[in-house]
Amino acid sequence: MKKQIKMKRFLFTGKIFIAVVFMLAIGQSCTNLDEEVYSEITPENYFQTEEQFISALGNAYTQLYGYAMGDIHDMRELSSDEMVTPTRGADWDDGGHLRRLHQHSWNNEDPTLNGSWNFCFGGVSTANRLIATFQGLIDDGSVSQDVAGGYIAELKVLRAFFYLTLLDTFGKVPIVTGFADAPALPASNTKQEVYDFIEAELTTNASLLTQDVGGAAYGRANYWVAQMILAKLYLNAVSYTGNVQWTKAKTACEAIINSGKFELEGDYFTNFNVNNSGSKEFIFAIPYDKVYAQGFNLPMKSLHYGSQFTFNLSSQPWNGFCSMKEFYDSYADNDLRKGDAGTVDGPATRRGNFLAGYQYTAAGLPVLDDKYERQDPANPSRPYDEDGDWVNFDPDVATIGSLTLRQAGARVGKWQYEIGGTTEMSNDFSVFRLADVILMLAEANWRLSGSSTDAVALGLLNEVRDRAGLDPVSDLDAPISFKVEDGDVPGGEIFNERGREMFEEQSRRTDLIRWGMFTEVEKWKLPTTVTGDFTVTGAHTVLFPIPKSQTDVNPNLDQNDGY
Amino acid sequence: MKRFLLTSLTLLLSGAFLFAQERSVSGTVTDASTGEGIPGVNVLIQGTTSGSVTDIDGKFQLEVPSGAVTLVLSYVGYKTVTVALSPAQTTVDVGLEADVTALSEVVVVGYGTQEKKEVTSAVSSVKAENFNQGNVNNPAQLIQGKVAGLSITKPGGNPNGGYQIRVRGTSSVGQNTQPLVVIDGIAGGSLDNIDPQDIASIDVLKDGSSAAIYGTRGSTGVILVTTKTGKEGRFEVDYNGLVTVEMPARFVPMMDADGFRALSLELGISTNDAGSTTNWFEEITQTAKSHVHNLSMSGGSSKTTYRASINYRDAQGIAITTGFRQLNSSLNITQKGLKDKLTVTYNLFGTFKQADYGFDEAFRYATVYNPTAPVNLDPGATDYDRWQGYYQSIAFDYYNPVAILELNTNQGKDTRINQAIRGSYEVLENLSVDAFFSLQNESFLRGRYYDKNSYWRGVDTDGRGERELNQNFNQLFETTVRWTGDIGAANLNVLGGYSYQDFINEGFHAYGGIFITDAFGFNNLGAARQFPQGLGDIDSYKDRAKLIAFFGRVNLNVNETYFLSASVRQEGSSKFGENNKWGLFPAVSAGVELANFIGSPSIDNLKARVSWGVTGNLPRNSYASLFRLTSGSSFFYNGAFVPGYGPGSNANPDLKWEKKSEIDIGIDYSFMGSRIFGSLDYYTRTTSDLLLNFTVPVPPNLYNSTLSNIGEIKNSGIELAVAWKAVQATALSYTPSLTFNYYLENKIVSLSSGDLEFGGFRDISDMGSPGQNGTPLIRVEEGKEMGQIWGLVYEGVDETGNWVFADVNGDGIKSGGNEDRAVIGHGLPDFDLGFSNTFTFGQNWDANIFFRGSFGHDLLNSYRGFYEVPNLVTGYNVYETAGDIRSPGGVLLTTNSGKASSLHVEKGDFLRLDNFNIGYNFSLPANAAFRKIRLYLAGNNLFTISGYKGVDPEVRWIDQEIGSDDSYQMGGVLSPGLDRRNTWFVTRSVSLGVNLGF
Repeated sequence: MKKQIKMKRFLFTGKIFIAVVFMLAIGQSCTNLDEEVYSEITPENYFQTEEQFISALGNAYTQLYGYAMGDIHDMRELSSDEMVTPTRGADWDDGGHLRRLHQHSWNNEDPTLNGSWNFCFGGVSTANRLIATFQGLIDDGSVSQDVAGGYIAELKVLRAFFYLTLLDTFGKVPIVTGFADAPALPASNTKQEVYDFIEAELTTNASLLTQDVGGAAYGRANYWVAQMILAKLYLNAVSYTGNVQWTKAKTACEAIINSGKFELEGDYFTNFNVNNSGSKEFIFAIPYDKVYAQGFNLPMKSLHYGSQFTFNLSSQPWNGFCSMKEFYDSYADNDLRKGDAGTVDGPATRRGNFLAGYQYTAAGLPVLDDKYERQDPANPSRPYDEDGDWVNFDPDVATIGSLTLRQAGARVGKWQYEIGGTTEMSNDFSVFRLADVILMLAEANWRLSGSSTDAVALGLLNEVRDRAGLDPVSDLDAPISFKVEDGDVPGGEIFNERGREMFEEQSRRTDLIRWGMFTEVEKWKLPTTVTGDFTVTGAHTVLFPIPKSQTDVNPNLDQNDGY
Repeated sequence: MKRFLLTSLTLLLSGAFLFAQERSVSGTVTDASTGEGIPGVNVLIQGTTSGSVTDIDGKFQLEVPSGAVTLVLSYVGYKTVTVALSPAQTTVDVGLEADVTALSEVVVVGYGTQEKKEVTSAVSSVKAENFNQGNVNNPAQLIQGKVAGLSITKPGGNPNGGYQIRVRGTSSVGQNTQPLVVIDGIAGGSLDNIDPQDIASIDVLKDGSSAAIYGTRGSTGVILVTTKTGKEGRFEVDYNGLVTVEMPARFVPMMDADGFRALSLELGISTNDAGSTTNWFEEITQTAKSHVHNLSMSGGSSKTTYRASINYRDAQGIAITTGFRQLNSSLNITQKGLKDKLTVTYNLFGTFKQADYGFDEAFRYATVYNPTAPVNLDPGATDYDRWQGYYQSIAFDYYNPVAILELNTNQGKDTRINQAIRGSYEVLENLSVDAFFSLQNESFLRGRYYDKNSYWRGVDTDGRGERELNQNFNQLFETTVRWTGDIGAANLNVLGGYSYQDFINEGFHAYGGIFITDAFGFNNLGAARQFPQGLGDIDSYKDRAKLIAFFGRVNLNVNETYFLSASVRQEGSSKFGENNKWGLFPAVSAGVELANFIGSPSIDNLKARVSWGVTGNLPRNSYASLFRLTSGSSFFYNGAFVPGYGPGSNANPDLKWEKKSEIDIGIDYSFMGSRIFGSLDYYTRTTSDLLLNFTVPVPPNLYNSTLSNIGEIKNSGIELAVAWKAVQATALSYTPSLTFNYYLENKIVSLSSGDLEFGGFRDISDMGSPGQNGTPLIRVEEGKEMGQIWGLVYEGVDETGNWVFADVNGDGIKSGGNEDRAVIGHGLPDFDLGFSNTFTFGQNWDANIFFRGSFGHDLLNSYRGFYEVPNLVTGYNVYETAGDIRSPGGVLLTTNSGKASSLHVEKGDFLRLDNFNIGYNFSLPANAAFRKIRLYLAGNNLFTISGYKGVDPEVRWIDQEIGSDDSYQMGGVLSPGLDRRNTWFVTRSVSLGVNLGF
């Protein structure tokens, strides 16, 4: 009896035990290592609605958010005569790479170069990926050729835009159009091949794009954007390939202007206000937003620490980028685009491309800087801030090294700063706008006629001058801000007007190259006493070197000549 | 039933009868070798809970039932003895033999225990009596410096800071660098969930062979924690109490207000003198007071043993407003049943911690803040209300550190609960089956609030509240089968098992600004008006991973002379790519006891052993092998923003474990009757298929980096542990012991794989703002050692006041540019040592003096790299030595920006009196109410010998500014040797403690 009970008990316990052991050991889950995804998206749960389709397409455009203030901006603006980022005290040394951009002594390890390369190729590969995705959807019948074909053409034009940017800055780059079958280590193409590729892509695909502007076409690569890329390509063909294409440039510009889709805004600054997305002048804009579409962090990059209280910004700016005196002075005082400077009597009353002079808080009190440079009796030659702790943006930037005064340099005031804004701006950034095309067409006409009194060119130029409140000019030749002593430069009026009109819109470097003055950097370069800033300049600097990070991993890339 | 009643009745009657028939037994317990009486020996009547304890002379007396009984005599350090008493015997004298060899102790290894003499791989065991004492709030501190090959560091004295634990240096540069912690069988446990007072022993599996049984988690070593349990017999109550006073041990040598003014005067700069004299270090620090209470009770019968404890810790940090309070409780119950064939063990650990973290940045700003600035403004001053009475200089990245700490809050509540149950059934005499289930729940609730008037953070968004909750859930099921038996001369021990572990992490985080009042703190996020404005931020996540394994091990012991062990684990993780879900981790080790051949009486043990094992390392995050779409910026479509989704990772179906293969050759020795004992090991190991986020070209890839298996690193080293019982007399005993690790090699063999070329070298770890962005400090180079600090070679200051750096590349230009950089330091140490000195004086006094040091590593002193610049006196406080940066002719440096160079790389060698304690054990009569009374005084970090001028010469295993977040291509692990700002100052503490046993 006892034995039986014991036995039963043993069997019972044993059964439970064995059951527990083998339930898990034999159950199906025991060796199942599939991943369960909860808060992430994989291809299995995407591309199911039209909204998701659009959201995927949007990925190609969100690549552009690095355009207005990213590395591509720094690389193109700081290497021109309109912008500089001096080292101020301990700030903005950063290994000297920003100084080197200004001095044209960059090297292939400078981070801005690699950032720009990645920006462009990120755009190219996103376009390639989506083209491949959409083509795949056509091939398997999920979507019709009519619907997806338009998207594919649009992506190809957008890709051409990134290639134009690459051709403009790096020259010899690999053309990559495939995705899954793309070569791991693509080889460089010649500048001519890149040029031909861009031209062919645009001429083939432009006709498939909408000619509408506004609405769903706003901020998209539409027909006019394609024309504009072509116009830029042709206008600068002489820089890119050595062959002039003024006639083709003229035709492309005329197509845009004659379409009647765009008109100059009465007020220049309508293009740069916080709420500027309706501007009739925009051909291609990047619709930035402080919440949804971040990247336009101009207040951070340009304003003084204390400017936080001028605009009640949510963050303290970094006191970096500013313009230079010669460029600032290239605007006549009555130029509506210049604006005026704050004085001890009060803040500036007229808005302009610059913030200059004495600065005030939103409450009307002086903006102060406790760390302003104080006088050094032992070193009378050492720069010091004569007007004390009241922040005063003096357009005269004397040096680029660490002795630059904290308050030196006129700051960018072109885009309206939102009161109570954040680090990010909600102003849309115009990549292409009509005023640019008008001046391009003026230039194309002048280049073709070679006459400094070309009537068409003068008419177009004066159209832009008129809006700026300036008197018309009757001769296109004029001195240029940083080489006044050289006398009149052919087409100098067009060059100057482009500078004033297109300030901070990434046009200046290309203009300098086209006028053959980019390599005259000695004329605008600021002195530096900082060791480690090289003095390598030369004709080859019209192109940047292929970044070391890229040549390291891809031996098939050719370095540009001279590097 | 009838029978049962009868039996019960008989038992009751016999019990009464026996009680009436007790007799008294007395005797003396002596040390078998010296003949001296041993006080405090436990004398227990076997099978009961009654017993006695010997008095100071080793004598005892107790009542025993009539008839034959067996006494069990036990005492720490001696072999337990059972003595059978004949029915009439009333006296008994017993000589206890010292438990001589340290090699006879039991060592915890993965999935079981082994006698130390049988262990054939590199395993170190530290028992509670050898733990560090005093101001110990984390189990990691218990064994700091105690194990050869184990480095435990925490630069600075943050009471809520974590430890960097390295077994044999850096074995992985990828994803996980901290060792696996196993608490009473719970793999992947957290040391934070165990109170140091509840730990009985900590064992460290150091080599590949011992850790291979933990498969994909064994590469970084395994730390096995065994908690205290109840003992059959006495009901014991223990109370441990500790009060600690902790203070900063050293500050960074910055200018004081007078020095600051003097330097300004010399520079001729009309100073930035705000008219006060403030020592910012003193303003942000305090003498921290802490108290710890631990109460435990334990006991048991032959069927049931239990232990329960409750621990309370209330600690202040040395930064004002910081500290934590923690309540931890644990319960352990072991029940035997089914004729003792079934043993069920239940474990519960629960920890609740409330912490005030403060803000590390306060240390940085205290270092650079103007020493002539006051802490507070005078009431009525301009901006008095704006900054709530605190002085603020309106400048970039420059904030009153006292205001940072006092105006803002940063709090956390951590709840951790571990539960585990184990059933062990002896199916046959030699065969047992175990089933184990554990459940770990961790919950971390954080709250931060930045005041509307806090210039640092808060004023910009008019107050900012932040809330964060992260929860980790982890369940483990394991079953094992064991068989022990003899085959011929060989004793065999066989283990087989299956393991299933499931991890779920989920969390929520939100922040928002613009509050109408500071009154809510972070408790009413809905009041943040940023949310309706479309600002603020909310996110949540959930992920899950599984680990499944089959494993087996065979241990062989032939004649106590030849030992062999072989194990294998087949383990799969859901985190691996679909083509490589399962990995195989084999290990073999063998040893031979040479003492059995030599036959010399002075050699007790001399075991030579050699082992080889393969271990793995897991990706940190789930889904790393999948192609995922992540949300990027939104896209403006037809007047509205549509979220844009694009690639966030590439598919890598081949993703697998990082693989470490390690060979260890060692000797365990014990000479002269265990007067000298220890071990010596040489190891060499190769870690390949490193898990690195590698930059890949797009296209053909969808995303620009992929978590890949790439490259190889190699380490080797020598470890020595030696203890010497130098003096062994009753009046005085002295045992010095030393642990020593020498790192022979720490090399990055390759960081390339197939098409993925590393490009020879990369420069990482940016110096940072102000002014030194784009200044990499570490060179990661294939074929070279890890941790090369890289930069300009300082030559001096020229007569114009400019830096002069060596022309390294020989182009004749001292440009100070990238091309003139060179290796200027080595971030990893050459060797570490721990030197412990244990004393006893007579019966009552004991003491321990413990030194710990690391040697051969360099540190880049970031504070000097930024602030040893005289001109910065206009904007920052500067290093005390800033005035020494001059040309040979005495011209001060004139540049305004720091420039990190070899000038700022210092030797980090240090030797620290890490732990000192002296205790007094009261002699108690046998029948006293107390079983034990001990008072002790302990000091931690009483002094440090080091030439280092920065915060703490401790080894920096990781660059805290990169961290080990795998969203970066190269984790901070590749960047050792950087003493960054924001580190808490080192502390010194003195504690007074009492241990009471009832």
